[in-house]
Amino acid sequence: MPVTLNHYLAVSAVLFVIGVAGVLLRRNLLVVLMSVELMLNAANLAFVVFARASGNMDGQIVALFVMTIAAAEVAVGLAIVLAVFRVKSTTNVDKINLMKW
Amino acid sequence: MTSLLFFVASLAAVGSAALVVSRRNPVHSVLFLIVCLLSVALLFLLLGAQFVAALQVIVYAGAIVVLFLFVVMLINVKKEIVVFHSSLGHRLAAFALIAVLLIQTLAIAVAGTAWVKKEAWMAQSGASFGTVQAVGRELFSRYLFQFEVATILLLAAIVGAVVIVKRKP
Repeated sequence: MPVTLNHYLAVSAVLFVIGVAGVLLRRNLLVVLMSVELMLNAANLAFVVFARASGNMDGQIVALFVMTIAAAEVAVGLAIVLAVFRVKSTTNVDKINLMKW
Repeated sequence: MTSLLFFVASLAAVGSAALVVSRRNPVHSVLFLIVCLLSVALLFLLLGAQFVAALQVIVYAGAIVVLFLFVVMLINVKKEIVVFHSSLGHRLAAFALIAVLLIQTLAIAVAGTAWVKKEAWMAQSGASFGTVQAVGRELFSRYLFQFEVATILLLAAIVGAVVIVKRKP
């Protein structure tokens, strides 16, 4: 069975939805950050798929930039997790609700 | 052969992603994230994106996941007490949203690309598609401004991370 564009896009869609499930349902802040990485990977996959379909290299360049931004975001996000853990001694997102009304 | 590799890589990616979001021990989640990232790198290779696949392995699985592992080891939660959201209403709403999102995205992915030919969907491109030289040529000519801005973004991230983690004397 030949693998078409739709197969790759379906994989990207399922990866994205699994990432959304992780962000919505998990209570550990680190696993939430990992789920965000899953979503970014799904988007990267979609970009590279469309780059292949159109013969244009732009999709791969954008995937490169998405990877750069993901690295920067993970660095800052993990710094925040460490700083919050020092104060609250927990990574449970239900307990980190200082700004909630 | 490529279709067999595609099915193996996509099953590994989806399976390990499901395991990432469902393990109690965060270290297990990180290890399954590595498997997922390597499977996505294999998918990139199948799509002719050699440089992006190599960067996925080196940057994502090699640097970002190592950073995650450092922080997971520092925080040292051995086993989660509460895995999923405590409130049942929240969980049902989240499941409903996830189901709706899954149906929508799969519908678009499967049926929404009518402009692309079914079998011969890959565009005819030369042997230099996705090579380091091709990416470099684009990055330093058409995307030069974005490249320099990404430099500044990385500088901001480095400074921000150090400032946030610094202990107040």
